[in-house]
Amino acid sequence: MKKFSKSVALGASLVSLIALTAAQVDAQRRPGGGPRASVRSSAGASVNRAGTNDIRAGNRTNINSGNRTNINTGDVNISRDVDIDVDHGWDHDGWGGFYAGAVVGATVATATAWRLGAYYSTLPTNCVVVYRAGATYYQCGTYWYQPRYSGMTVTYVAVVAP
Amino acid sequence: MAALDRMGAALRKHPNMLVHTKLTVEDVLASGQKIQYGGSLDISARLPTKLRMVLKMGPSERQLYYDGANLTLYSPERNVYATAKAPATVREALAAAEDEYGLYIPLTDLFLWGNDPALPERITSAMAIGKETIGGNVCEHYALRQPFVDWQIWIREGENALPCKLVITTTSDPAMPQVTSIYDWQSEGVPDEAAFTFQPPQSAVRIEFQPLQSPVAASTGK
Repeated sequence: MKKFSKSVALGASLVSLIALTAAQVDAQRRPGGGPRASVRSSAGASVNRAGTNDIRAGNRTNINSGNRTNINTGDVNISRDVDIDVDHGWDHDGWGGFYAGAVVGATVATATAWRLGAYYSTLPTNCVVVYRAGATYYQCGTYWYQPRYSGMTVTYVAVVAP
Repeated sequence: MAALDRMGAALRKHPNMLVHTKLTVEDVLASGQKIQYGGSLDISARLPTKLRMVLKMGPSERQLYYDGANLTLYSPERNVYATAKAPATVREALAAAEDEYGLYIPLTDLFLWGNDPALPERITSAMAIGKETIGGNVCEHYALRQPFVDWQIWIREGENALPCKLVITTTSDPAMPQVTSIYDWQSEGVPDEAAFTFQPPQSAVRIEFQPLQSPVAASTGK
């Protein structure tokens, strides 16, 4: 594998490429990258890494709305959490995002994953709805989440107990 | 451009509208890989103050209700909804939803054409391609360009110049994702006024919209 030449790597099947470690793929990545190189790096280096399935901005479902302001301004003040994939749809001009959020990178909130202020796309299983001071919360054991629409996407924000 | 004017006029002649839309949407992953989704969007409206949309894509569904005072987004599969006060017309309400909550509601162009004189000014080129039959109607095909977007529209021949199909290509992304919608206009069956006000189903949980311009209020817990 060490002597794996660039031309062989580019011609190799996807299956064998997935077997490469991230470091090997990185070492072989062609500077600038052609189309094949891109396929390879996403299959090998990125398949298990959170964030690579993030949807990038730009897809628009309208011609004339969404560019009244800059298409990318929507997320400027939102702190994106790189470990959490749930924020598909934040900067996404369309309704495809909420669907993709469920399919591409759903992040399940678990006790170990709980971090104040983080966004999750699904809750643990042991949750109850609690209404406090006019707001809705989910209490899951000792952890609390507040549900919100982030754009079209339902997300759960980890909060302190109300 | 005269064709667009005709279409705008035809759309504005139908303040009460009901249209079933077949929708294809493409997402672009950070890697540049494109993922395509198919779905449907049913739009009913009594303009300028009532709008209802039902969007279905894969396992997900969203219902949007606007009754001239409040805008509600409901997710049946999670049985949650959020309601916010909204301006007095569909156009203003959609713009506010986008600006305040990042709700990019698809195909809002349908409510803008023939209403907003700024739209034609953005177009930098336009050409007529030819005729095509879509859903039993003969439609004229046009291709247009404007900053960030190439678009193609098929418009019914004759007086009732409703859009038959629309393709939007986002040229600002090198992957050039496309959104395609094909329209099936219904001449009757527009819901009556009361149907535009959201009635929460039993046990539906009310949540909030996350405002776009405020930092995440995670630490308050309230």
